Amino acid sequence: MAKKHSSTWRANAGSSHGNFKHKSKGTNLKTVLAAYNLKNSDYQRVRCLVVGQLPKELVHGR
Amino acid sequence: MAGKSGQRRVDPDQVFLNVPYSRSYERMLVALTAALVVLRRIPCLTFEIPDGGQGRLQRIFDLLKSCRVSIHDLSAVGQPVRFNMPFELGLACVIKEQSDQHDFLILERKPHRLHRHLSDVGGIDPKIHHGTANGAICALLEVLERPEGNPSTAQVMKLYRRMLKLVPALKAQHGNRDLFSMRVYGELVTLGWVAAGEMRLI
Repeated sequence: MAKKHSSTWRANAGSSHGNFKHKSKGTNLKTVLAAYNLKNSDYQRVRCLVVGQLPKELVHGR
Repeated sequence: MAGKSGQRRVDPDQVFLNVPYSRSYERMLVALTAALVVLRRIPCLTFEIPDGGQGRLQRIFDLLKSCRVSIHDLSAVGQPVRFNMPFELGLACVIKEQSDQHDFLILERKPHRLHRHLSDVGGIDPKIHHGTANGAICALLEVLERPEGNPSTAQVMKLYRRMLKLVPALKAQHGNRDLFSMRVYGELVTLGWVAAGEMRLI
């Protein structure tokens, strides 16, 4: 196959671009709220939206 | 790059999303967000950066640099032409080349189409989602992992459907027609976290 042009991307093809597997411990909700400048009141309102419409079988302790 | 670099630390949990800001893409955005919530990542999009003004390009570059991973969905071809999207992919390529602390994933709707429009990325295989939420979620679960193992695509699809049902109410609370603002999108992510918690996915 003729190479159109040399490129570091071709040299690295398959090594990481789209073929990576990135593991991370993951963040928490407090960090998420801070990332979007959301307050506790915003969180409570969103929570009401979710819990209010959650099917009974998914609500624990009720 | 002109201007002073923000020197932001790379956050392993931040994922830059380079996606079309159009209402027709909202379902896909909700799917990507559901997957990122379950994977306990923080999606970052450029609408958190003020429009225009000096230094916008530098701020986009700094935001990209602060994300360990970026995802670029180049499936929206046709009108309106979106020059920002391949441009931001180019920035991600530069960051990857300079620091090796960045990986990027390209998404497309159809196989073999990307290389016809963007031959410079020959050798880089996009993940094909076929324009479906299931496909988008699968793609993310293939490249991002959490320590205790990933949930199944079916589990994330359940979360996606729950989030999608709540999107109209969320928009109505803000009087917004779409999800593409920092405030509304941030609440969508929060909504995903609450729902995923209730469903015991996180």
